Amino acid sequence: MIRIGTDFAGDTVETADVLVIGTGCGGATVGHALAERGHAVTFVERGAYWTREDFDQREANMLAKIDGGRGLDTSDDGGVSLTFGNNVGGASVHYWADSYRLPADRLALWEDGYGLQGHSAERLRPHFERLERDLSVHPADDSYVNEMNRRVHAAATTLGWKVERVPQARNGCTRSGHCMQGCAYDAKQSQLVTHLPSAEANGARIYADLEAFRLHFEGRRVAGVTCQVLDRATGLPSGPTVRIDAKAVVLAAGGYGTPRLLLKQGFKQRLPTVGEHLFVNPCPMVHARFDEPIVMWRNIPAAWGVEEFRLARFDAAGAYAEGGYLLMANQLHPGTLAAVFPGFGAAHRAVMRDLPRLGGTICWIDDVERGRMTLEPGGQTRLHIPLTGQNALRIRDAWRKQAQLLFTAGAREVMFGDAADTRLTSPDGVDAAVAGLDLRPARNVLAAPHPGGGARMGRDPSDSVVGYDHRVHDTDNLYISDPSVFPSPPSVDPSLTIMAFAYVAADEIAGAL
Amino acid sequence: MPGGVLIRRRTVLFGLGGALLLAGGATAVRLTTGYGLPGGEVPIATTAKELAIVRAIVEALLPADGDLPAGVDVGVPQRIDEELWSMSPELREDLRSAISALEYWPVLSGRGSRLSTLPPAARAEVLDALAVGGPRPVAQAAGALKQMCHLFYYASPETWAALGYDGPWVTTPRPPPSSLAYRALLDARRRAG
Repeated sequence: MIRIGTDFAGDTVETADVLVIGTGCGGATVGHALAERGHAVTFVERGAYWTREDFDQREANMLAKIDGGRGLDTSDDGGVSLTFGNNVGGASVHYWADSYRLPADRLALWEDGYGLQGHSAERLRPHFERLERDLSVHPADDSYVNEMNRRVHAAATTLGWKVERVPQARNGCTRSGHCMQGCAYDAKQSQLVTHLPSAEANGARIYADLEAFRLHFEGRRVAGVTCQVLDRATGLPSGPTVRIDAKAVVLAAGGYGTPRLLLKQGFKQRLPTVGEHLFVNPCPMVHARFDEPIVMWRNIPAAWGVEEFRLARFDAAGAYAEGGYLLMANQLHPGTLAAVFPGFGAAHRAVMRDLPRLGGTICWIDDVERGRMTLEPGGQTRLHIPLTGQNALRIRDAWRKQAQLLFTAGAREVMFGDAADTRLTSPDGVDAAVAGLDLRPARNVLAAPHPGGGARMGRDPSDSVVGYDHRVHDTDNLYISDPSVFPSPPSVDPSLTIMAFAYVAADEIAGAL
Repeated sequence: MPGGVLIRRRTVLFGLGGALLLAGGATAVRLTTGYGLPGGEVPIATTAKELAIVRAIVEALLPADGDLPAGVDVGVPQRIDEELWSMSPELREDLRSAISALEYWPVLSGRGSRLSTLPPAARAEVLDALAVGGPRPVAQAAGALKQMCHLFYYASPETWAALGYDGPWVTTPRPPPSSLAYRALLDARRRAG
């Protein structure tokens, strides 16, 4: 059963076995797994319920519908643009469908470096196998390769860089290139068309337009959660409230939403790590102009991924040398491209007039210097993301490698997209140009699409928020199932890892019910 | 996924707007008259003055150019007002502060004139210089408005043919509820005169 805000005329009280707050990869998967075992699951989602008929492929319309900040939210100093889902299905509705397993080296780091337990390769493997089967995950074959991706592959091969087909969660893809505006064909295997329908078929209730705003404690137990109904047009509370009492409550509001909710509920006093250690995968982009048509907006965004630099390399003295990011073709439609491209006048317009011959790349930085979310006196949260230290070194190296790759791919002009509109027509000047790029806030456009770490997993309540069973420390029945629990970025798109961890969380919750 | 438009968080920008206005003092008061809007534009989330400033920025950034229409002719100022109406109150206040900050920046930086009263080319020059080398809060204000202008302009179908963009495969637009509600409010205001 799916209900939306206008279905709630007055204050309501309900019960469930499990209440899941959030319907993205973490929430939808844990709820689907529990519903499948016969538990009565209710989902609440702050955003709206949209279906493929609503995905009209218009950038401004879709930013308003499925982006949490309508494309407008940023970190505290404006340095990083925050991208997150705000709809039934969460960020999986706008994601690129890149579906990597957690690399073995990253799991080893989490186990050996951070002490992770309960999520061994043996335990995760069947979950990854099931996810790949259920979500039709397969390597992007040649039919998915647009001209920009073809050039990325060719250039990486020329440079001797490791480049691999990106695993994709798709079934019946039309290659429209509108993945980021929600799939109008239900081909992208988002939570909206996979785990949520599965949960619903097993009796789960899915409530959209409900914002969880108060957790009711009875000792160490969360007895229930009160949600306020939101008016879809304004995003503001419309009056009615819905209280849902449950045997277990799962926070799955995402890498930004879950720490925000915990901070607002006062958890910081007893769990000081709430909101600390945040990572976001900041994404520097480089644009390029080619002599031939590229038409980067068609077909899937990333068919080939440069994995050569996924892991950072260090010199003999331990100093950073290079890497620490994935590098991929970028995909931007004209409104977004124009928004992120620098300049105000004729130069900007001249670039836009060359749209079919524009292409570019993007890197997902494996951020080392961590961000921090804090609660302001007025109840707003503030997120600080450092673009300094190791993060800055990696961002600069990512700019350098992208420029090198784009020139090798045949670009006649490479544009860094900084406020000073730094451009090159020859690879000779790359090092000097990158050294001169200004990393201060507002001088660049960096997106942050993969937040996590703000309620990390561990044994000690002084240094973590949840235990290895996903249960919040010092509570009996409050769990977290989203990337907030990760100790560090997964070094690849996090969606499949979030889902695999959600299956582990479901095992633990089911065992405790 | 690449992100969209950059807007500063409220506290810093609000502080900037306040500081600019205080620093401008009597000059600002003297220069707050003379704002006007063409008949079709109606401020809902902004004041008439703020919408006039937005219009002046759009005129500067997006003039008509051959087969590309002017930004004001595809409704960018009204669309920015709609976005302000639709966003969270905190972000709305950020943007309104940004608009004021930009308007008075040329006064405070020695040009002796508000942004909206400069010739369009000079307005673009001021914004460009701000983005590259201005104080961070004002630079961010310039960047935020610039990005909104460009997003709404190049996301408009009226510009696509000139760009060589073949547009969405889905033929029927489905505006979000916020847009429908805003349009209803706008129509009502227009009918009421």
